[in-house]
Amino acid sequence: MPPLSHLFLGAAALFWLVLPLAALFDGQHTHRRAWSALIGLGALTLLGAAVTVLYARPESLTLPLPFFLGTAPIAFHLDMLAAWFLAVIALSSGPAAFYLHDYMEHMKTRTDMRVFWTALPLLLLSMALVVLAANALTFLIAWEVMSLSSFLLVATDHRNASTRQAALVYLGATRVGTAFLAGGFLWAHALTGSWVFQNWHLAGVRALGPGLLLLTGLGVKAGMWPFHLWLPAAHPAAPSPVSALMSGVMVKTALYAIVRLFLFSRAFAHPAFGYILLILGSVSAVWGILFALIQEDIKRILAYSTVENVGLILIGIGGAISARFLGVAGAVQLGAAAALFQILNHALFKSLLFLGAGSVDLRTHTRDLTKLGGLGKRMPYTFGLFILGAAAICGLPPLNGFAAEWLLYQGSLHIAAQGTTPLLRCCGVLMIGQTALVGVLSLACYTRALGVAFQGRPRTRAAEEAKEASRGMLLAQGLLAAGCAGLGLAVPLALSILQRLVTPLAPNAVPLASVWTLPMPMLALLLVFTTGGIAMWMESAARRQPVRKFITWECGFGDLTPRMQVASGSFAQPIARMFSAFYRYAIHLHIDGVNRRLFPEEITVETKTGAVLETRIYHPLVRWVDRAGDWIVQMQAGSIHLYLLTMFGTLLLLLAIGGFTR
Amino acid sequence: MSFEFGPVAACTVLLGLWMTGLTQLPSKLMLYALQTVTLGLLAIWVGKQHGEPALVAAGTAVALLKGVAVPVYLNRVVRRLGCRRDEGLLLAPPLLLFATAGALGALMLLHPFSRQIAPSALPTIGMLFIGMVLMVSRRLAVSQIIGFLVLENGIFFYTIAQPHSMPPVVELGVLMDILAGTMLAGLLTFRIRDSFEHIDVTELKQLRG
Repeated sequence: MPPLSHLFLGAAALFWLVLPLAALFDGQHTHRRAWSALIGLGALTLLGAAVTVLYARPESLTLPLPFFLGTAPIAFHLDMLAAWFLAVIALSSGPAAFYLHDYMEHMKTRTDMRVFWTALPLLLLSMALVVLAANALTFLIAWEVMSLSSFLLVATDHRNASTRQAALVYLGATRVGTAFLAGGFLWAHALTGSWVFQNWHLAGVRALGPGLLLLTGLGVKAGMWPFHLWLPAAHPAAPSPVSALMSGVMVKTALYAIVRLFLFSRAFAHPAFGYILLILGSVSAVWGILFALIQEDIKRILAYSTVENVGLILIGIGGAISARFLGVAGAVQLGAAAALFQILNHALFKSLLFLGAGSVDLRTHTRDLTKLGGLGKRMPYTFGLFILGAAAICGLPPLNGFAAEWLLYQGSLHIAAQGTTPLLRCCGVLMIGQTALVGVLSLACYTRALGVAFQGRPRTRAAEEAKEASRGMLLAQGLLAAGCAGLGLAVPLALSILQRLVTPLAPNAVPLASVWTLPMPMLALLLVFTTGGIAMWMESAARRQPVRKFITWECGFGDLTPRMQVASGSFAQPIARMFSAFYRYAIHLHIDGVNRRLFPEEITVETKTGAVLETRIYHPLVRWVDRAGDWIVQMQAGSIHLYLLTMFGTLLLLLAIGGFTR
Repeated sequence: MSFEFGPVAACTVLLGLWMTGLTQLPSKLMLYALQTVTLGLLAIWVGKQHGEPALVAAGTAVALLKGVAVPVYLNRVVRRLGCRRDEGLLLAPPLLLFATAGALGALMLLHPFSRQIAPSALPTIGMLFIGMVLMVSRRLAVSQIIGFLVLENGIFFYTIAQPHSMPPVVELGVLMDILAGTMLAGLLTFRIRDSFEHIDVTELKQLRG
């Protein structure tokens, strides 16, 4: 009798493998409810596997002989860390299943749905396999399936030129990432002679080379600064449930590998990795949220906000690694727990927000903030759920985002209070300030997105005629929102699981539960009662005094149009000015008229932002690669003789190299 | 390897070298048949000496199938295609013969390869090299097939020359592959002729992606 976890995993694999086979024969997309149900069932069984593994001993699973990868078997390792990430995958993809069938309906005529329904379960399955892989080769293969299936999903709407462009950017990013990853694995194998992650114990300078390669490869997938550029390109282009999965879960698989190799299994032990992650994480967090603030496309906002959250998670991981080398035991546990908790949280609320953005996109056919507005009255439930997701991502209590940020603050405080050197203590204080800055900026970012899209008056007809999303879509978002709120209230439970996870890292540190001193259910009740009280008081006040209706005084300018509302650009302007050096922000104000001081006839304002990273670094790089590609294409002249010569030349060269090196 | 091996090896290499200087396809096929039959007989002889019945069987199969059946088939192909001459590419064949001979001489003298390759195996590498030269230096598709077959002869030669030859299953499997490959290539040559109205490989430049 195999263990329960194996049965659950097998069932999940079965559900997700049956789907591509069945979907291949269903070009008309007729059984989409059945396919969605299969996705959901797979997620449910995966959650079952995660829960059983969480409360069991670690197990290994090696596939029997016909499944073999040349030099290593296809092997999996089920332990608590993997289970935590399995839960992340399951909790995010399960609710999305309810969303899929209604959302994908509008894509039906535009694209071949068979590709979508084949690639989606493959993506889910490969993410689970990445998390479970016990050796580098299994990991790499699952990783490739994940990259390629997600590329297919991004390219779902490939009749659209911008989607094709975005999909190519994403494909390029995955290729570069995998190249670095493969290099790192090969190097590590050369140094250790093993493909199994558990046998890798590199320390000191030897760890630096392969570790840096791996960190680069994983950083590309995770969306770490400066490799984050594919996120804002690919997420808006993909269908919303796919963006939710990619941003909520797929990005986390890279973080999983970082956590596993650099923190838990100590495959690469060197303090430099901690510092690098800390610095790049801080930059990602600030950079991501700053750029999220000035975007006009809702999904681009969310994509940049993912960069920010990945940054926060990396701060947690990097802080934990650094703290271990610097001997601050408490911060190790707190940093690791904050990172793991935030990974789960982000999967929940970012999926919720992406699904909300998808509903808006579906009902108004635009994601442009300048064309939305007033959706709160037209899509009240979506609005409410979006508010909840935004509050959670901004780290407002009593939701789950708050708990993770609280752990991060506590970890930084530990470093600030117990650091061994004054410099270290200063760093702790700086980390607190930096996290606070990011929190405030994200509050501004989401206030802007919510206010401009959902409040005020609709700016276009499309926004005016928007209708509430379908029940299935609302149910999916409702489940995710319930997850956010429930996790916020059940922090002690989550901390007890995390405690068992992170205890091996620093066995004699203070328990996590001791830093969670807030009576969160009481505070939540207080919040509910206060809000309810204010609402009731306003209700009664409205009843006591009759409502009077007036026209807003328009200062004599004439009719007030929706265009006169605070726009997305103007909301972001003060902050954009403050950080104009990052954005290369510029405002061109032009006033025309005979007496332009008193009676302006025409006023034009134009704001410009430029991304330094793209124009200064990536564009020249891509151009250079392009030119190299042109040169290589010349070799592909179609001449068979040239091909043969190349092959024979290579053969002779290899023979000669073999001769000279022996 | 016993010393009787040397002259036979030299003969087969020289036959190959002679092929680089020829323009007529039937005579080239004739030389190829001679070379292959020699190699097959050599394999039978070596197998008898070392008491390896597998090598004897492989040698017989090579001599009969590759040495007789394939040249006859290719000869028919050439006759039906109606093009007996291959002018060569870049270098006129007689000049190519001298250039190849020079290169082979340099290869033997310098021995730039790994010390694991015994000097007795050098002629086999020379034959590989001749096969490559034959493939690269000719225009017609049939010539490429012949070049490939010579190259394969080189590989077979190498396995005989090694003290521990390849397992017979592998040897026979390769032989079968070569036969099927040659048949296919012969048929494909007709297809190329039908679609392009020639079999000049230098003109097939639309095949790129």
